[in-house]
Amino acid sequence: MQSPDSSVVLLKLHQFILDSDDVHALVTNLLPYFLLQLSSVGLTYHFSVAILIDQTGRIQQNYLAESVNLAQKSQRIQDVISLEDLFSKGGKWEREILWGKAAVSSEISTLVNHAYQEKYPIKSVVVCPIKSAQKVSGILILGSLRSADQIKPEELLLVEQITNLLAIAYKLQDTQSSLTNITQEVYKMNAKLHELDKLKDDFVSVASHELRTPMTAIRSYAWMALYRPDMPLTQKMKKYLDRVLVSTERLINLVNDLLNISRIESGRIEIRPEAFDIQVLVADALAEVEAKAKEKNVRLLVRSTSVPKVFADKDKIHQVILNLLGNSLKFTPPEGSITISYFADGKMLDVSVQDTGVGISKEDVGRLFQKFGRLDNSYVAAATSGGTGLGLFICRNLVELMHGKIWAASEGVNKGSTFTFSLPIATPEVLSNANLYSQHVTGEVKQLEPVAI
Amino acid sequence: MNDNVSKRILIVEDDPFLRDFYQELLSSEGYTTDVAPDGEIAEEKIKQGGWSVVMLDIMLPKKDGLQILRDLQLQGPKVKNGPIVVLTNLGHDAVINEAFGLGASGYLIKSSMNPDQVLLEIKSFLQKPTNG
Repeated sequence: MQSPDSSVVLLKLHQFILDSDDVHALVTNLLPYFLLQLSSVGLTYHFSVAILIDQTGRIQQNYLAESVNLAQKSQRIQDVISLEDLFSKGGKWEREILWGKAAVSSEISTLVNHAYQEKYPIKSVVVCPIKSAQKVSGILILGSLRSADQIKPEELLLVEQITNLLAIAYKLQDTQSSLTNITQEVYKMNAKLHELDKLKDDFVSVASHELRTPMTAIRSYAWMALYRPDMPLTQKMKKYLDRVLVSTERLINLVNDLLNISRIESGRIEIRPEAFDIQVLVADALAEVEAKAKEKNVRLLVRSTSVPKVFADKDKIHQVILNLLGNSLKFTPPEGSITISYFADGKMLDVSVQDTGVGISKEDVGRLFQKFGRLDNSYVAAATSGGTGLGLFICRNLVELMHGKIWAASEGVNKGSTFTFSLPIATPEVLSNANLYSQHVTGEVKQLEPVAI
Repeated sequence: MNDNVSKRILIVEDDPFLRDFYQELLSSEGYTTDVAPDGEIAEEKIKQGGWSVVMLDIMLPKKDGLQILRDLQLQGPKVKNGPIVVLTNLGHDAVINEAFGLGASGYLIKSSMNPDQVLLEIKSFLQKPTNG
């Protein structure tokens, strides 16, 4: 049965740990505190030493506290006890430590520093292992001016209980220390990441800028050579020059796409949604591709119907529609058609672009919206008009930024494809939560580079 | 075609290949052309005035296109100029907006236009009334 004194001491120590603000110095402060509490119930000790060891037995930390009445405190633990004696293999303390319980001994002559003994008449020591997770993680040594027979078993029991609290305190302290270290590492890495991100942004910006000048020169001169030669061109020359032109267009589109992706992924694209009638936007887009569609002898059809207004960023949707139309044009043979239709379910409006073109095989449907997810059998069609494999990826990013979805369906190869994207309908609920649908950018805002058809 | 020669076009572009190209393209249409390879020469020539159209690159050595536009607002040309068209590599740039605010009448995205499209654009600018 625990004596009332013991209970009080333990309670006070519990409270001390709980109340402690500075967890980093928990053990440092706990040591003198429990000396004080012990002496307040008549169990006086002259010094207490706590040594914490790691799994290999190496000393990690040591703490020293002495009786408050001392005029001159010891500086180092070695001034008080001999560590060699304490840890000597086969020595008298090894058994106590391994035994796992608190023990008192008056054989202090080798353990306590001689100079110290001359100053203070230490008569006995209590040695108690500090245990954590069933392993010895340290040792507590208490030196007393009382003789060994004055230290009763109940007192040793109390010391064991105090040692457990010490183990808890050390765990807390250690955890806090790790946490602080990790937090600092995280801050450092974060700063580095921001730096890298900015470097990448700068690189992409500068690269795409610088690349354009020679691109423009190549394109312009190739065009002049092909269309305004000052000498008759052979068929071969015309073919070569045409291919140079097509390639430069492809290159410029690729640079634009890469720039757009970089901006989207860096969150540098703003989404400014508004409520609008999408059919007007579709009509604009169709007008833009009309010339090319005529050239390719592909019909453009729209299944007009009354559709609710959507809540989305006009510019971005314009890009998406142009991209889908452009793709359909690329992959639809002459005499084919592209049809736009709508479907609303109250929450979302689906816009579908269906063509009678080369279609998509089942295996490929899944890869469409990934980066560079161009389909193997589409190289033939793509070579004449140049695709970058990034357009659909960008579309998906944009549509998803606006809380919509985009997907593709096809009956199979040469059976045409249907690309559909959905957008939120401008319901009162949506409009009242407008800020959830926008994306603001702090710092430099970037626009998207124009889509080539 | 003959009255094209009365149209004077100033091409301000620091890249020599592009500069030569624009000059060759427009001269072959019969327009009278002149060039400026950097911002200082450009400002001098623009301030002389009398250009039917000025094609103004923004990224220039010695003085950039925007600064030229700002200087023009403080001190106009001796003889009025026609529209100033900004030449740019990137679309929708904040730079373009700023140029418009400083008196530019339009812009051309160099990298995305074929020569025939450039000609069409310049022709349409030539038909605009002068705006100093």
